Amino acid sequence: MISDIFHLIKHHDDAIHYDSFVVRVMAADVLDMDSAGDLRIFLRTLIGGGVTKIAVDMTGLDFIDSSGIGVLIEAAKHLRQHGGDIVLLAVPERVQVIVQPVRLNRFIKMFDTLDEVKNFFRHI
Amino acid sequence: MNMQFDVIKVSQVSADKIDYTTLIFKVTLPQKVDIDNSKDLWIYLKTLVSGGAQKIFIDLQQVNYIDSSGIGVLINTAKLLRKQKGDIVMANVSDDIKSIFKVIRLEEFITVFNSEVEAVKSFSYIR
Repeated sequence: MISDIFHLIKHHDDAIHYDSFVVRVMAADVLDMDSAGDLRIFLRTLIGGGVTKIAVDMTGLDFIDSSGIGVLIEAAKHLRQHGGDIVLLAVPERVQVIVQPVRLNRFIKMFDTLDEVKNFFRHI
Repeated sequence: MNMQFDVIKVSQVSADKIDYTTLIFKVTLPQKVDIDNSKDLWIYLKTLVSGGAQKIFIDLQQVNYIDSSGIGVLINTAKLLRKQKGDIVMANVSDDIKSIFKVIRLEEFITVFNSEVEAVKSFSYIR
């Protein structure tokens, strides 16, 4: 997984303020039975470690199956228990047609741009 | 600054509960690790370790510059991990970077392997 961090507020001390940044994870190629397991471990470990704001960037995603969707839902549930949330960024048309019928957008928010994501997380 | 993370499984057990003794987190560092991104690297490593990660393998293949803040992050991560019976190792260090590590004798504190295979193998002996 390729990942980076967006700081909403700049802190200049050594402590980690988990409410002040968003972790972006790029979902690439496919999220299926074989690859979703690694994403699940990565997200769960980050959430267990304290991360509260996660954005999954789906720009490079070609296909997602039920196990991939399951990983996202599991992460959403975990994060919301800790007052955090997960959002999806730039969901391509080819993935929209898969997640639309199961109404994933009702459970997990989807945004087109990074600015919208930052805005959303600034207010939670 | 993008960082790449991979999960290497030492044994193939697919259980609902994650067994961190069987997992190695591989972190591929970007070209430059300096004051601009070492804080982010620290956030990732600290969070993964707090989240349960025990075995971290740092791949320096792409790195051509690392400053004291980056090295500080690696040392702090090593200290954290060793408190919970884990460890951090490095591999694919270029000669330039090796010469930096040599002056400060970093290799005496964090083991450096020549290849990923050796690095991954080293973890099979830690319980």
